[in-house]
Amino acid sequence: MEMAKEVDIFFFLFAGTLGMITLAGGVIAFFMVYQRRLMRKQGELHEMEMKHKEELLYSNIEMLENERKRIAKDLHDDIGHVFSTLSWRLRQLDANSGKEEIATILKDAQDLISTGVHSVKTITHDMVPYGFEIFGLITAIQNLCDRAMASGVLDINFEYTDSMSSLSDDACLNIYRIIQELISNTIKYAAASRIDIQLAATPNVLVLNYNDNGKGFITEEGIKKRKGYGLSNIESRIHMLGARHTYTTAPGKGVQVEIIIPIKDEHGANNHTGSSGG
Amino acid sequence: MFHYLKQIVFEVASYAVGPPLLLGIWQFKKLPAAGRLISIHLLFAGLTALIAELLWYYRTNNLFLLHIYTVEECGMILWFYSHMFRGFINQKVFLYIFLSFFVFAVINSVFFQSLTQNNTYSRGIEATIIILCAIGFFYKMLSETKIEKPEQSPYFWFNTGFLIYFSASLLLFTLSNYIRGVQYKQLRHDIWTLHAFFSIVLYTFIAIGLWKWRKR
Repeated sequence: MEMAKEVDIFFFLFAGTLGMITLAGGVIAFFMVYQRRLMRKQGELHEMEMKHKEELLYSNIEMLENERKRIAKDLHDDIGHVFSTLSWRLRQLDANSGKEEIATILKDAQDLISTGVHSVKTITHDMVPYGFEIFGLITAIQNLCDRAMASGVLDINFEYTDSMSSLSDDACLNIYRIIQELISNTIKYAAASRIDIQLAATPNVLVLNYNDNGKGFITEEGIKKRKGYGLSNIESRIHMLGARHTYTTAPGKGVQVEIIIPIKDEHGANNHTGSSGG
Repeated sequence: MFHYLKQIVFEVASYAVGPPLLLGIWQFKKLPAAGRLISIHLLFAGLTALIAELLWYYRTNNLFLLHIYTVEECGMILWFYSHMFRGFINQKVFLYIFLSFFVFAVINSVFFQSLTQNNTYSRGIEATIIILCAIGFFYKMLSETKIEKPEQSPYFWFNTGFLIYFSASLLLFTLSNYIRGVQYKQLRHDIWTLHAFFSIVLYTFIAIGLWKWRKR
């Protein structure tokens, strides 16, 4: 009887201990497998992130190279041409030149210098928007809208809350370039007749809403196709701003872009509303 | 054959604390706080084993040592886990758990299981606390996903050792007072052989953990 009880207790203890060990082993095995799987997933995500960052970097470098090429081309075509013509005209001056001839050459030289000055202004304006540093982001965007509307085929409605003072110059320039790129894309590909731009500031974020009534595109295909046409540029600027964005579009439905930009300044926004264009 | 095997396990178990203790002492200065706590605990475990052997030699009941050792072990391991869970669980939580356990262990030793008996209730509660900490630590490691190869981390080995040892010993601790009679002598011997085997596993895992630190 005692023997049977002893065996019972022994088996109870043995089976119970075995059960506990199996449970502990199960926990450890689960941990090992799950940890490896998690780390693998994290590695894949990290790789994707790095690849995306690499793409953005290449896009930035390409953007920079294109900008350099454009500046070089503008300098060569405009300023270079002005100076070579000026030099050619001035070489025609000599001791035997008549008064009338001198007056004509000087008039030409004056015109060429004016053209040169204008060209320099145009080139520098493309580098940093005119009035950007003095009048700020809103005026620069208004000028941008006015220039885009000058053709008469496009109507742009720009609304904003007057609180951009808390943004850094770099952030303002990035926002300006994003809007410039968006308008440029609309003009090039969307065949739109109207664009609505809203810049709404809250104490913590600045929300940029951009809508056009163009032909739109299938989101993923279009985004892939247009990466080379400025979307990468927009994305890298969004990245620099530390912003979030959503791109909504469909064939025939236009394009809606919402960009939420964090404002690092701790001062609250001053929500006076103004509007332009339309 | 089986008898010899049990004898070997018993013999080895007496010295199993040696290697991790030597590793702990050897690299004590360069160990982080959690590693030092484990080393101090090993020293305490070694001294307790030595005194227990001496008392056994002089045929004196040495079970009171187990009552003291249980409180020390629970305290040191909880202190170790309070370092492991830093930034995850407030360290005071571990202090409160230990204080509650300490009060329970004292009450148990004074009123329920005297110093000449196995303190099975305290051992059982201690094992449950450490098992929960060990599972919680695995959860923390999973949620952080900082360590790519957990087997390279000393903490993984300590934690695995604690989980296996206390899971395996929980029933042994809880039921050992039910087999106190002379008639259960053989059974008692078998059970404590099993316990000795898991002690060897625990100290081996702690030694591996400390060895991993040596490589850092």
